[in-house]
Amino acid sequence: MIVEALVAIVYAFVSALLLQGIRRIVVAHSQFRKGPSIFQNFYDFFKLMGKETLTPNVTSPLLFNIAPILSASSMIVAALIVPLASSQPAVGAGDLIFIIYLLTLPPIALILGGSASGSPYGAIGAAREVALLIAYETPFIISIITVAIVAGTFELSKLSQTAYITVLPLAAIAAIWTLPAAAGVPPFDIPEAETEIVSGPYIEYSGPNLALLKLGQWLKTFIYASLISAIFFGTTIYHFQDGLNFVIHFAIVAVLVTIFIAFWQATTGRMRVTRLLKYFWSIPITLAIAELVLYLAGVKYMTVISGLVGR
Amino acid sequence: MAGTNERGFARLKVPVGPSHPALEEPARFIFDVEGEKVVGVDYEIGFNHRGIERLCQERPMPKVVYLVERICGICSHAHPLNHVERVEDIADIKVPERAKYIRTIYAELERVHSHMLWAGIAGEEIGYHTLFMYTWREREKIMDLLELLCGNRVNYGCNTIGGVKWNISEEQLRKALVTLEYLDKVADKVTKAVLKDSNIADRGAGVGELSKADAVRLGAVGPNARASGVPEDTRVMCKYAAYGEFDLEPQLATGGDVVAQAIVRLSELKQSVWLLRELFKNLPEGPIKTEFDEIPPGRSVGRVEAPRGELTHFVESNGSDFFERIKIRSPTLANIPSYVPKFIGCQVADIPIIAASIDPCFSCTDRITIIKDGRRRTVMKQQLKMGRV
Repeated sequence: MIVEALVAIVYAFVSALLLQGIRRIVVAHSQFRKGPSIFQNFYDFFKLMGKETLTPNVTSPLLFNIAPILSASSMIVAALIVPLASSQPAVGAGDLIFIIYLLTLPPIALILGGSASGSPYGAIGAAREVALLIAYETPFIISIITVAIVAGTFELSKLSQTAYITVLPLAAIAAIWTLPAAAGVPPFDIPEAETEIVSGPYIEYSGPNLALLKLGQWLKTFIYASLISAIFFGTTIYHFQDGLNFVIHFAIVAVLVTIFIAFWQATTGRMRVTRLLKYFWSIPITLAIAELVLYLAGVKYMTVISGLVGR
Repeated sequence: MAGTNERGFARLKVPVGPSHPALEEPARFIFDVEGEKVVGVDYEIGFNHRGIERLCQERPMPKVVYLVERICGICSHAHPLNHVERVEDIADIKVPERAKYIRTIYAELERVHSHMLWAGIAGEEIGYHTLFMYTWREREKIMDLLELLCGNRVNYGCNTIGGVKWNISEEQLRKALVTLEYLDKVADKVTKAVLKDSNIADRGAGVGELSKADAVRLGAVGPNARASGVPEDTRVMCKYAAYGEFDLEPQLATGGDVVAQAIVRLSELKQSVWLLRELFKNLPEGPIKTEFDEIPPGRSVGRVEAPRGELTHFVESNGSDFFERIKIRSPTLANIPSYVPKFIGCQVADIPIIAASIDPCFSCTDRITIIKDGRRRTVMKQQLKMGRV
């Protein structure tokens, strides 16, 4: 149990940081640059961990200092729950609900830290983070709950037995659509927006605090992608032996991240916060709800497709 | 820091600058922000006063050409071009035709690389890094061409009183035409990438609007004025250097928003590439420099179209080796007042792109800064008139 938990945490940490390295290299190459080393985020993380923490003269030092710990620790707990490859050390009856709660904690930590930092940039960044969270979480949760209703369970270990992209493709599209926003990279780096509000909530953070906040964000990207892969690409990974399943899981997540995050980042500019709600609450939310309605109305894609092919 | 308005919304004062990632150069804007909306703005310039005008009066005349060349890193041809034209005007020196053409070639190459630089910066400000990387990579082709022509990438050192210093050989001309062919395609590609992108249209349409009446009232110049529909192009109006030989149309747009600014600059990019090809093809033979004896006392004032707009130089000589007075007004100074109507009512997210949209060059702008009792002061026009400084 403990060994499994340690394996899951180390695997999540290493692959979350590696994924960021891969994303940066893919973006760099599409921008005619060479890009940093694939291990750049490891260097950044360990360098920041060794630095001094400065707490500015802020309204609430407790909130300011607890936010990074909240962000990183919630994601470490999430790493124990989400099916990363075959191991899933902490299993429970309603773990899908629990992980949806956990995934909102890093943004909430950013909102707390940004508001407590006493900087106007931090305050604006926190307000934008709220808007971003509401915008992307709603379609994501609706599509995940649709899967849960269809499967009749909130247990991830049971949900990951079927590749639900074949059963509920519209819900899969809606969920994957929200992935770049959860990763917080352009065009959805609205709370950071370094040219507008100078990194927003991160602005007053330094040293280990900054490293933990960033780690929370990186782990969140990885766990979000893992959750999507577990639910929508479920069966493919769990039929392999230990060792190979990690490789395949990482490959699926890496493909998700490079295609849906890095290419998106490389081909658009930053979105305005006013367009955000319209963007996520038009197509993705419609897809997710349509999927639920279609399922309840009894439309089975496989039957429809096989009917078409047979004709 | 905080206050509330009459409806009870919190009002924040958000400072931008003097050092801020959205600004390449020091300037300070203080925004009153309610939520994401800007309701008030105040600006302050003068952080980078270098005393150029005074320095110009303290060195012999030939050295001043090099000094004015270093006022701006981007408009490093417009400044010396205007300066030598003023001196030639005072001394009544006839510049050979070939020299005029070569000056125009540099001026247009400068406009091409400056407008491409603008497109890249605008992309960067809205978080579109790929556009930035692409335009700046293609901009290197122009830098290489400039290096081929004069040996320098930034300060070309081509102007001298009475003509130019670097001639253009047959081989250089051939290579330049090949590069221009390529640049023509690049101009099309950049235009397509910017104007056809839905996200850029969303970020730019209606952002930073400036009406034609406001543009005239606030004295906007250059592409900033043309984006509001003011048909003002010094190249067409003053016909300096070789511009009289070609039929140029001012490139206009309406509304003055970011998309209009982009339309003006991108169509000028295309126009400049066309003009450059004409210039290279019709380059007349002959000498490139006229000899002259001395600069008599006199004064001259004139305008050229720098990439950022109308650049005014005033030169007064007194018959000695030194200038009596030099006064420079760079285009950004004329464009700064148009920031106020552009910023009021915009979103915080639009601040950087509006700031970048007029293509500001604050360091070239600063001519005066008042430091009294160890504190910087900003002086209003009214105070200056009344002598209360």
